[in-house]
Amino acid sequence: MDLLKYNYQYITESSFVPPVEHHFFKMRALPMENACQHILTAEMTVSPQCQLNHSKDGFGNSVQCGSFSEPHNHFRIESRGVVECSAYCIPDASPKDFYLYPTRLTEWNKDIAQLASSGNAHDIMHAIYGLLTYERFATDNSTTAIDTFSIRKGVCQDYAHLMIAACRSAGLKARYVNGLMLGEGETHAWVEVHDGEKWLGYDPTHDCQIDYGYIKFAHGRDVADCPSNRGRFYGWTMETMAVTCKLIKQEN
Amino acid sequence: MIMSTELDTNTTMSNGAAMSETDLVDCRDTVNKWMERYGVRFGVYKNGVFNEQLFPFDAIPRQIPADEWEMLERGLVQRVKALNMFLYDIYHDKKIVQDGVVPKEFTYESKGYMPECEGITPSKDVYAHIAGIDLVQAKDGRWLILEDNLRIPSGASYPMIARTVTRKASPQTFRDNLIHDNRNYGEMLREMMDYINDGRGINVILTPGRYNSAFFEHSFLAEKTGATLAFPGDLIVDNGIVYYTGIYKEKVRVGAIYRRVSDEYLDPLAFEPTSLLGVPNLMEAYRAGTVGVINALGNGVADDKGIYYFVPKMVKYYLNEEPILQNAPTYLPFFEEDFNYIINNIDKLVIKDVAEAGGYGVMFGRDMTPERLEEVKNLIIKDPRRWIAQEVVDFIDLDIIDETGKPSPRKCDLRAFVITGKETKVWRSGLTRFSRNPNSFVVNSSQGGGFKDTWVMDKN
Repeated sequence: MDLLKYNYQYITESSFVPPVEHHFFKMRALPMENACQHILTAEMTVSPQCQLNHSKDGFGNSVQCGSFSEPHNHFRIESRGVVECSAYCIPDASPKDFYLYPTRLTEWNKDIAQLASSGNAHDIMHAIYGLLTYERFATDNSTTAIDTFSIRKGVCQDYAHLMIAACRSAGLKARYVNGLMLGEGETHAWVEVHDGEKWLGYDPTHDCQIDYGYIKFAHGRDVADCPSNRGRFYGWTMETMAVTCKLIKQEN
Repeated sequence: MIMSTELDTNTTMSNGAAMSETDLVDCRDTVNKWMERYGVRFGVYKNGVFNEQLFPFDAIPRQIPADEWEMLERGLVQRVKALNMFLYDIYHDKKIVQDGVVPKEFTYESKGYMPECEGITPSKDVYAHIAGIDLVQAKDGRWLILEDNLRIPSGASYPMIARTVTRKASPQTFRDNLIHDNRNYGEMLREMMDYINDGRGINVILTPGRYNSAFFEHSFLAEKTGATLAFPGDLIVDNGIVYYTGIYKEKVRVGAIYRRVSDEYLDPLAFEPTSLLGVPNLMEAYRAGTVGVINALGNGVADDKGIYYFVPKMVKYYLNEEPILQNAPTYLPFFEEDFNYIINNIDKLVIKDVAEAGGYGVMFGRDMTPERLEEVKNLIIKDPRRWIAQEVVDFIDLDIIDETGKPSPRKCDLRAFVITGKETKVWRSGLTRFSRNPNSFVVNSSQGGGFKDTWVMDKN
């Protein structure tokens, strides 16, 4: 099996006018270590400099937490490194049962269940790709799979939620994945479906089963379980925030 | 077998207690005035507006004879032990689900189940440190469990303060009657908090603030337990450790948090991101085991109206004992046999929405029009997991003194408080709530109504 190496970079940068204080953050922005993804180097830097605490959450994701209490008007977190990948496939003999049940964002109705009539993840992905039009700003973080189905447009997060809802309606265990995709831009979201032995990756936004070119940060029942970045600070302020990501394949 | 209420009352009111009762009734107004001065209030949000109302106190106490209480105590300890074992199991190996005793749907689909808590082992393995178990006494004398409250059960402060005030108003009553003192609740809590804390730092009670319906209770319990009352913003997490930063100059490490903020608001970085009531990154400290959280997160999976059905089965499964206390007869539309029974007998049953609490979402079949009954049937057919049905339990009336000054019967329940630290103990008192109207069966404080003190009688 081919092993490919990727350089990844994830930067989140915020400016505050006037400054804020007591800034707490929680990140899921380190590549996961799993059967098809192995970290060769990884570093995470926070500026202004502060202590980073590494832990796991209830879904098995790596979590990086910290805080900075002094007033500041600039905040930047950068995660970068090198990951070695084999074809996307994660063996799991005992996938959690909660990936079978609806959450607020992944509830389904009869129409969505209809998309899953074949019971096959590949067909479901294809049906959703055909149904939706990619469009920014038509949806937001609270958009549910049922909303997406009715407005027929959205971004990768909405494609993923709809596919998860449809898969679960057909009795397939499905989970939401947050990570990076080859190229430059923002973070990406896709879906893993369990086939009885292993998790396979599907990208409904691009209508493809995943083999290479995707680096996974975290997974959960829906986006609310595994956001790549959450923060909380004190102060009345105008925040300007930008996230930039890059994933490049190393040439041998 | 069947005892009348009057007979009950007469038996327990022997030996001059009746005389004292008159005493108490005479001082009812004084007591209510004192309670008002203490600020014993109950806040309710209705149509988005916050109203504070007094929680009216009725002077005639509920009395529970010693032998009856002894049975209740054994039954409650048994039940809470099983519930704690269930919570541990659900967030670890899930043996009870694998063995088919509890269906998957009743755990993973429950709103109270939190996958974020998977694999977390709370300090000393305790989940339900403070359990508020609601019971009623049927007219045949049997006590039945109506509901388990394992998240943030409130109400213990009302009988504590009522007792303190009535002791002042009528000291003779408490000399003449052998009543267990209930003023030890603070001590019981403190003992439990210290055990969970294990010397790691100070104990705090975390309140959502002044506009919470139970704020009075939070400040009262802080005083009685010697814990520091913390407001959101007083607690910070630094490098995986929780500190209190309120009134002290230096930050002080916290070892146990008796939180009165619900799970979804407790950490804005882990749950509801808009919450202003929480402590950012508290979940990380909790997971790392550097702080005890009382009650544990994720307890909602064990106290919703759906899982209630399975609690007697948990007692058998985990403890290999017969349940001492029974549930009110309950049917789950999820099971086909129960479903058919409910559809055919809906006019006799009470239907409850498993997602609601506080007396909301409770419908009595006998009060509904034929059209409404059809509507409710359709709701059940559409989403069977969302509903439970129960036989209407004809529970006993206790007299209260009504606005006209005359005795008048009301439906009453009892919330018993069960504390688990090193051991599981029942507080020898409880909150007896009564319905606002003579023919109402709903006793929740948010629906009007009032409370009585609960006297647990001592032997001899």
